[in-house]
Amino acid sequence: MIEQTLWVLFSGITLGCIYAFVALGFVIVYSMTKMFNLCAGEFVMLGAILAGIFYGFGFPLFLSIALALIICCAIGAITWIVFLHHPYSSGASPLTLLLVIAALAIVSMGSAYMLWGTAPRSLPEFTHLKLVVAGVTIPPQFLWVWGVSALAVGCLFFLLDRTLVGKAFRACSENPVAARLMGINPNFMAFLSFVLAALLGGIAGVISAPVTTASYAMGLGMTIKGCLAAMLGGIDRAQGAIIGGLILGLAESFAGGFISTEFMEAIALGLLIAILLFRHEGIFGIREEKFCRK
Amino acid sequence: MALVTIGVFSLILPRLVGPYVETVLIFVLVYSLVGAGIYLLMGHAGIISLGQVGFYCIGAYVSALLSIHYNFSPWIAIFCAAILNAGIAYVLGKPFCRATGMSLAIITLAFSMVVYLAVSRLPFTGGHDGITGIPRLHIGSLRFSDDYYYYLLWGVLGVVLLFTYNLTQKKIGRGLRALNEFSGGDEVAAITSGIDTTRLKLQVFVIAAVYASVAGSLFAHWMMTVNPNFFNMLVTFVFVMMVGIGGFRSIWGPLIGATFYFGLKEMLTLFLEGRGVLGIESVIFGLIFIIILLFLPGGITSLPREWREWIHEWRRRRHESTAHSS
Repeated sequence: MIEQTLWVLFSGITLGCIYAFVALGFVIVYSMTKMFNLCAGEFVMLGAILAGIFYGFGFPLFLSIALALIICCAIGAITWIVFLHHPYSSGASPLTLLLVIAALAIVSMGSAYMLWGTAPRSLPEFTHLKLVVAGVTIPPQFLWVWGVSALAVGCLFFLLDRTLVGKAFRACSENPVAARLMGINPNFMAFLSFVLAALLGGIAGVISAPVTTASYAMGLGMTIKGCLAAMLGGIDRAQGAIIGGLILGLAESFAGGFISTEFMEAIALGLLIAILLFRHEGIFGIREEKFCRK
Repeated sequence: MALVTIGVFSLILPRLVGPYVETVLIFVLVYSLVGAGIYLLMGHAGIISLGQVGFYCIGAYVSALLSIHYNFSPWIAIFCAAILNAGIAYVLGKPFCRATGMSLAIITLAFSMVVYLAVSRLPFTGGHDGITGIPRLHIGSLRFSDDYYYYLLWGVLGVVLLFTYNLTQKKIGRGLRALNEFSGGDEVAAITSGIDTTRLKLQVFVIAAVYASVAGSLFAHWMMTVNPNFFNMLVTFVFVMMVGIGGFRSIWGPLIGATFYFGLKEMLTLFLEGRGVLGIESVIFGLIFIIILLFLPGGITSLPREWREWIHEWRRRRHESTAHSS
């Protein structure tokens, strides 16, 4: 019983880390641009599949991962420049932007299907060092997920807090007009936020590839879960996104472990929807008065 | 006048084309029915609902189950499914119509995902194979053939479109238009004018859910089988995208959009001889949608107007340049 609980706990945390990445990508774009980044999950799929493909070509693991991440960023950059830069900078309505991003997610899914079909790709585990805690064997990849997540979050907060770019970033998300007066270009910051979200998604994809199978349809599911997790944590709070992701991961894992593996996703999602129905601004969100625009 | 010709044409259409095209047309009509709801939601309330497929799916499955296991008459089953979906829409919509429309988009998307997952796993919904043997609609012992279905759907669609049009003329429609960005309104201004935006949005959300539910039920009773493939996540985007391409603000948008979507699909199938249409259809459809959003936001139905305006503009510029040079 203890073993099962521990296993469920560890799986949940691992899953939660992945969702947290997507949620972070979502929150970063939202706080900067007020757009819902529905492509967040697509980059997870992209990262995982690309890494799997490169590895399948015979590249060493480290190189495959690096290439996959670089391509993720590149695709994120190109997507922004081609499709989103113009509407965003000329002030299209948020609904229009949302629809464009949604359509991009569909295009991405379709392209993935066209290019790579339905065959799932995967990566081998990064290392083979197993850890045993209280009679439960933790798969080494879990440790990688935890480690990389902690590192990524640490880097992210360092970036936002200590570097000039990070401060510009925060300034821009709080008040674009004032930021512009200070010489910061909000459009460029928006671009950076999108690419950063792509990178985070790619990392999530790459570290989870050994433990999940990546195929063309996984992106949308990831996006939905990441978005829900972000909303749970309050849609523009980075800390909230991480906690929301962990909660979703744990909920799914516990549902899978103790109720049923077939319905674990549905139950976890349903639970989150129910929570959001009662408190639609999430756990840490601020109840926005309708007449106060941020 | 144009309306009458279109009406007559569509009435005799099944006679002119073969049974295969008739099935495609029935699909078009079913999808248009769902699209009518999206027209209300987007063109008037400014809500992006990515969950219509959830209501569509529940409508289909509930109707199917009721008529198979409990021997409900299909007509009654359709009605019951619609009531159920209205209730779900109410529960889902109430908290979110207060907030911005965008969080509703995500919630509805999550809703359709949950519905899809549930329907493909629950034991009594037949899993991935779905349910078969759903009875066709019938009056007494008269079973509805494809032809009957075609006319029935036209009838239903006609009634729905009329009802929807009526709605847009009444207080509810004008109230909605006042608050929607897509139709040139402003939510804050609307609230200060005393319009209860939350209640309006909720009403429209429920109505659209009912449209989708009826469409789903009719679909189930026509197809005689339902399985999760008809209700996957791609479909919900298709619903929104097709109405967008047709034009969110026009009552004919859904119909034109649906025709466009299925026309495109059939053309692609012909072109590619059945090879992997799924991927490329999404890519092309998505790209066309983006282009329309950015360059022709009113959709196909706004083409005549845009064309006229463009000609005016061109003529005016020509006048100006000749005036300057003289």
